Amino acid sequence: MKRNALMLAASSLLLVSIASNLYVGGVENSVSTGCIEVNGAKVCFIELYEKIGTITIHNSITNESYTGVPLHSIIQFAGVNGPEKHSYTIIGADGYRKTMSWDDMKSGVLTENNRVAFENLPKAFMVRDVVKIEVV
Amino acid sequence: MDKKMLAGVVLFGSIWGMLECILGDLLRDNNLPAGAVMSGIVAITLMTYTRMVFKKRGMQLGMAGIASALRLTNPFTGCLICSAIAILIEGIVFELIWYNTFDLRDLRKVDVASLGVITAYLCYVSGFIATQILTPLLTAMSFNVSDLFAFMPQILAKGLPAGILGAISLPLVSYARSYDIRRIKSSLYYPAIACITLLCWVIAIVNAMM
Repeated sequence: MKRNALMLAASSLLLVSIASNLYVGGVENSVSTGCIEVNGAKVCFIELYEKIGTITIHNSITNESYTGVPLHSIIQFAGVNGPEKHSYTIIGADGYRKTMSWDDMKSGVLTENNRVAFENLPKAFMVRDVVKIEVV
Repeated sequence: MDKKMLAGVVLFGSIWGMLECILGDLLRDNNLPAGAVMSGIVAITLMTYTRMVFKKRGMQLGMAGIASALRLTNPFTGCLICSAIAILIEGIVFELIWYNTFDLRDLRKVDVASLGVITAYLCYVSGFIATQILTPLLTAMSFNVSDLFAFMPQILAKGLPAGILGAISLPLVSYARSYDIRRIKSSLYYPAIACITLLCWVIAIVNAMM
């Protein structure tokens, strides 16, 4: 038994990861063409660019600049009442998600590459391939 | 204190950090599985080789400390706190898994490959989870448990390439055991390590400036 312990442990880990891959493949969201879901409403980028416009922010941690539609404007555009009273969960196509406060949303943008970026937050908060923003 | 080991910590930690800065960024920029490659090949190779040659506990954690310092303090790329945390956690997890292991000669080939899977997979997954918990805390953000739980299947799934690479890397590294750098004469060992270490830091910084 002890002789095969390493092999059993490795097999178990591989099985867990294979099962996770199968599960993830089943639940992964497809990236919508040019639209995201905000608080249940479908919002399209073309509309956002035309009606809100873009700004450029500078991230002090990555030392890079990002141009996109301000996140707080997207929330207001989606018709969320009392936006400052809520938190917002930004969800990527691969299921990656980050819950942000309204203050953080005010310093963020949704870029043309469908990624969120913030002025003072590390890359871990920059969700890629955004498909949905949930109001919490 | 083994001075040659201490110099080895600085050397291999700097090589690891330099590869994280250059190879890691190159893979990320091309949408390749950077984390899996860095954990399954680079980290495993460097930590396993030094473990077998120097046979000392704590050395790999020291290397991880140097590598994460290079990643964190590189003044031209900004603070990459996620990578730095992940590297440090990989060092801790390696030390735990290899607590009683210093040599692979007694193991069958299948066990060496299995140890490669276990080490690479757990290093990668633990590093990933730790960054999700510690990055918000270290950047004065609140950590949201539900975000982590919702993403856990993806983290476990993403570890598969790292595990497979570990199964290939470790048997190959075990052959490198005979190349014992401690046998190099001190008159050459220390100056060579100083030069290579300096070169690693210069390459990482120049690469970031370009």
